[in-house]
Amino acid sequence: MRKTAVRVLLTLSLVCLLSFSALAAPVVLEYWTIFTGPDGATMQELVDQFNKERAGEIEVRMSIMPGGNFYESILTAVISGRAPDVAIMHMDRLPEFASQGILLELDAYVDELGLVGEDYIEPVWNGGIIDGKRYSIPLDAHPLVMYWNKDIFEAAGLDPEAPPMDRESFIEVTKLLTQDTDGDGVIDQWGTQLSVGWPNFQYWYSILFQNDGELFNEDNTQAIFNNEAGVDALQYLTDLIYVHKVSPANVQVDADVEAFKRGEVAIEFNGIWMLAGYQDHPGLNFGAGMIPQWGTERKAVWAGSHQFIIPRQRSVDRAKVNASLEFIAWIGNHSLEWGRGGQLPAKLSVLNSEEFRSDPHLGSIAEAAPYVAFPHTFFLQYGEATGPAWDAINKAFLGLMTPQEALDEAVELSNRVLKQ
Amino acid sequence: MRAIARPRRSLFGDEGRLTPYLYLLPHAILFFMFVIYPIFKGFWVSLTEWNMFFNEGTFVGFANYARLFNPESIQNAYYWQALKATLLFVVISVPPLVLISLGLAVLVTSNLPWRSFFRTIYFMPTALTISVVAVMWRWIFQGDVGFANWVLRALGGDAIPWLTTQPYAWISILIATIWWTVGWNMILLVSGLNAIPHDQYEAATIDGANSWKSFRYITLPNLRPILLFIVITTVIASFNLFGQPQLMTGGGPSRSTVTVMYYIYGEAFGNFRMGSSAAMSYSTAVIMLVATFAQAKLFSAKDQDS
Repeated sequence: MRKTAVRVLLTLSLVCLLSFSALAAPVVLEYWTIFTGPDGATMQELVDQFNKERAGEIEVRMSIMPGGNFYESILTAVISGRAPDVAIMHMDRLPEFASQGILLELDAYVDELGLVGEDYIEPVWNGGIIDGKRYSIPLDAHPLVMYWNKDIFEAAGLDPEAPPMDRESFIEVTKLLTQDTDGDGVIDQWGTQLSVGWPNFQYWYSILFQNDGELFNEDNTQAIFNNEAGVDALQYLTDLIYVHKVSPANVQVDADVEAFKRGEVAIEFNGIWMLAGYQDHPGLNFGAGMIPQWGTERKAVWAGSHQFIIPRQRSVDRAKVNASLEFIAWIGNHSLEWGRGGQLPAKLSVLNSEEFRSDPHLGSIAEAAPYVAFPHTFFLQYGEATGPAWDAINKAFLGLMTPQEALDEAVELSNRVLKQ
Repeated sequence: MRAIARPRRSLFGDEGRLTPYLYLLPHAILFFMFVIYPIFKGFWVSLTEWNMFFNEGTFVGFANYARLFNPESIQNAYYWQALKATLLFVVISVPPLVLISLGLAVLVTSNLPWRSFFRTIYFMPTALTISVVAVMWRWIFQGDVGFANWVLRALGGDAIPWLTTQPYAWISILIATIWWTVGWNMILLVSGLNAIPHDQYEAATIDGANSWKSFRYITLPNLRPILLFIVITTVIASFNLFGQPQLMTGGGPSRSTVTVMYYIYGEAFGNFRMGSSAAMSYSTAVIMLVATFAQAKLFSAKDQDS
C-alpha cells in the first residue's frame, strides 16, 4: 500500500514538472534569411531584440545563407519536412514557389493583423498577391542606388551635394573625374565602374524602364527587350566603357565596391543594402541617392523587395504560425531600424516618418520610392527567362557582341524559355 | 564397400554455406541502395515530368531526351553549349594533369634531396575541399588586389582580368584544378614506379640504354596499366567539373564556363525540372561510357603494337 502511494506520488510530481516545463518552453521559430551583406547584422540585432522582449514565449533562430542556396534548398526543405517556420523571399521569386504550392496563403492572417494596402508602398504590397491570393507580407523595397564620393567631387571643384542626374551631365562629370592623379600614366581614379556581372542587370533594367520599355509582352509569352528601349539602354552603358572611357572594362563582381571603398571611384551603383558597408568604412565621405535619369522618358529605378513568407508544413502548427505572424508584425513595426540597416521600409508610415527622412543618406534614397519600377507582372519563369539578358549584358560589356546582337540572341533564348 | 555418409555442411559458422554471402551482405545492401537503385530510379525519372513535391511523375516517354535535339528548346541551346565547354576543359586539363603528375612522380622517386618532403607537399592540396580551394584561388585571381596580378605588376606587366574574360577564366580554373588534384595521380604513379623491378633497369643499362631510353622502353610500358587507369579517371573527373566554375566564375563570363554537371544541377535545383535534368545526366553518362571504352581500346591497341 505504501509502495503504491509513493509510486503514485512520484508519477504525479513528474507529470506536474513535465507539464510546467512544457508550459514554460518558448515557441521556437526557424527563420531563414538571405542577408549575406551588411544588412544581415541589422536583422540579427532586430531578432535579438525581439527574443529579449518575448523571452520565454517566442524564440527566433535566424539563419543566413546566400540567395542561390536558399532558393535551391527551400523546396527540398519543405518536401522533406525540414522547412523553416518563416523566411524571407524576393518578390520576383514568389510566383515560382507559390505555384509549387509550398507557401502558406496569408489572406486571413493579414486581416487578423490589421494590415492594409494603403499603409504600404503600392507595388510591393500588390506583389504578394498571385492569382488572387496573398502569399507574402512585404518587408521593404531595395532600389539600385547611386553612391558618390564627395571628396573626389570637391577636389575637382564640383558641388558634392549635386551629383549628375541626367544622361549628358553624367557623361560630362564622369569624364572630368576619370583621372591619372599621380601622373604615372595609369588611370587610378575612375568616374564610375560598371561590373561584368552582378548587379549590371539592374543598371540596364533601370534605363530600360526609364525609356518606357518592358521586358515581356502583356501576357508574358514574348520577350521584347531587344527593342529600341533595351538596345539604347545597353548601348549607353557600353559607350561609357568603350567610347567615353569613364569605366574600366572587365570589372570583376564586387571589385567596384572595393574600389569605391578605397576612394578610387567617383560614382558607384549598387543596391541600398551596401549602405551599411560604406557607412562602416572609415574615412569614406560619400553621398547616396536616386540614380540619374539616363533614359529618355521618365524616372525609374530597379528595385527588389523582401517579403516574409511562411512555408507550408506537413501539418499546420497553429502555435508556430501565430508566433511567426507576431514576429512578422513586430519587424514591420520596427522597420525603421531595418531601414537604417540599408532598406526602404515597405510601410509608408515608417518610410515617410520624420526620423527616417532626416537620415542624411536614407532620406535622400527615399526620394526614389515613388519611382521603383517592377515588371507589369512577375511570373513563374521570370528568373529563367531573364537569365539570357544577364548574359547579353555581360557579352556587350566585354565587347564580344554589339548591344543589338547580344539582346537579339538573348530574346531568342528567352522566348525558348517562355515556350515551355 | 559401404558408402561413407559425408556430413552436410552447416549454413552458418566458419565453413557455413551462407557465411561468405553474409560477409558481403552489408556492402551489398548499401551498394544496392546508393548505386543500383538510383541508377534505375534515375532512368525512370528521366522518362517522366517529375514533381519533386509530390515525389511522383507523369510518364512522357523519351520526350526529355528528344528535347535536347529540338532547336526550339532552351535545353537544346544550353546543354550542348555546356557539353562543348566541358569537352574543352577535358582536352586542356587531362594532358597536364597526367604529364605533370608523371613528371612529379619521377622526380619524387629519384635520388633528389628532400624528395619525401616534396612528395608530401604535392599531395597535400588533395586533402582540401573544393570550397576552400575555390575561394583561395578566386582571391589569388582577383583582378584588382589578387596575388597573381600583384606579381604581374611587380614584374612590370599588366593586370590580367583572370575571372572575367576568356581565355583567362579557363586558365584560372585549370591552374586551380591542377594545383588541387595533381598530387593524387602523382601518388598512384609513385607506387607504380616503385613496383618496377630494378633488374629491368640494370639489364637496360648493360645494353647501353640512356635515361630517356630506359624511361621510354622500361618505365612507360611498366606503367601502362596505372596510366590507363589514371587517364580514364582523370577524363571522368574533368567531365564532372562542377565546383571550380560554380565557386570561381559562377559559370561566367556569360555561361562560357558552365559545364555539363553545373547545367544539370541548375536544371534540377534552379529550374526544378528533374525529368529533363535526369535525361541530361543519362545522355552525358552514355557519352562518358563511349569515351571510356574508346580510351581503353586505344591503350590496348597500342599494347598489340609494342
